[in-house]
Amino acid sequence: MTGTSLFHEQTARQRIAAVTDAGSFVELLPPPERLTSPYLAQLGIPVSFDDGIVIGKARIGGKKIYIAAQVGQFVGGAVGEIHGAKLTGLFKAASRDRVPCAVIIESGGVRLHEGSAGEIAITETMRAIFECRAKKVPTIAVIASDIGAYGGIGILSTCCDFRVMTEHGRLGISGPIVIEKWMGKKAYDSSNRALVWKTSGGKTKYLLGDADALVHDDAGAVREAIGKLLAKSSPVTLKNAKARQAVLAKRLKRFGKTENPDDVWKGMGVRDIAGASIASGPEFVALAKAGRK
Amino acid sequence: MEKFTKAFPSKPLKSTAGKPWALAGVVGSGNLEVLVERGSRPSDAMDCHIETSIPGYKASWLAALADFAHHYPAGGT
Repeated sequence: MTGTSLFHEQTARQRIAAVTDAGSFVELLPPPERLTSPYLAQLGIPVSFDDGIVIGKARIGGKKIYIAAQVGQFVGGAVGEIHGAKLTGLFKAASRDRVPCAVIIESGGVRLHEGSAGEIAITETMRAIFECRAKKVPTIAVIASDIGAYGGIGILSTCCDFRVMTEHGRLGISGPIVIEKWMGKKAYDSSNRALVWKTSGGKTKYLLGDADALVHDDAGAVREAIGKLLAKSSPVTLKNAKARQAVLAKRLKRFGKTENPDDVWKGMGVRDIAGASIASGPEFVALAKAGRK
Repeated sequence: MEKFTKAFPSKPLKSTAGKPWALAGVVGSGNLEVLVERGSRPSDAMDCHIETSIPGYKASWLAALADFAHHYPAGGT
């Protein structure tokens, strides 16, 4: 393993170690427990000792936290029954113990090999997140890797109280190749990385309010951002769900026919498009704030 | 899936080594995931369990592991 301080290049366990207090992390259901996927085994596909997710308890700035990190290198971080059960159990423990819970996301969504089992697992996790929020236990999604948060995990990320992103992270449901396949290359060229990141990347998500923080691609910056969000949480109610729908309806009305993501940026108050395009996360935040009336 | 188990003679892993287990790598196309555990095993042998989706390379695996056990103290794992 190479030593790297770039958050998006680190492994799941390196990320957890880097964002939590030194030596505070205790892994739950670790690899020696061998909780591996029975479905992959049936299909003759090699299993991973932790089924692609590391979960455990730790401290950040001395405060207790439950924390998980998905392993994107294992079947794209996709969620199977065991992976999903570990995540559900973690949020249930967080709800039971009234301890905040953060997940470092790196997943394309449901693991297709496991079909319904993966779907059900993700919905059970979402329910556990809502249980946390009903008790005002903070739930945080960190989306800071190139794989991003897609499919059912994209949805799950928006169920959390907060999302911390970096410019590397992407948040969506259908991936770029799927969008191109259904809508055509003229409508969405998935090989145009700038387009992909300008429509689903951290900068745009922060600008539109889908991400609550946009930080440097650095574990220290992610840690600091999580630390600031450990004391706040709000329940999911019919009232705030309807309010959110109203915000999205307004957004659709305003930008629904916009074909160029730069026009969305301009519409949201970013004046220096070229500068904003190459800016780092925090620099972009400053540019975005400068443009807001 | 091809699965096999074999123990190789190896000098004992020093008992001062910290953790009870260590994980390296992530299983995937061309990638290897290795879990090493210390336990109540004879300290002069490295006990291996291999699972691979590519059959036919058993001899290569056994040779590589025998070589590792010979050069590194892994007894008791």
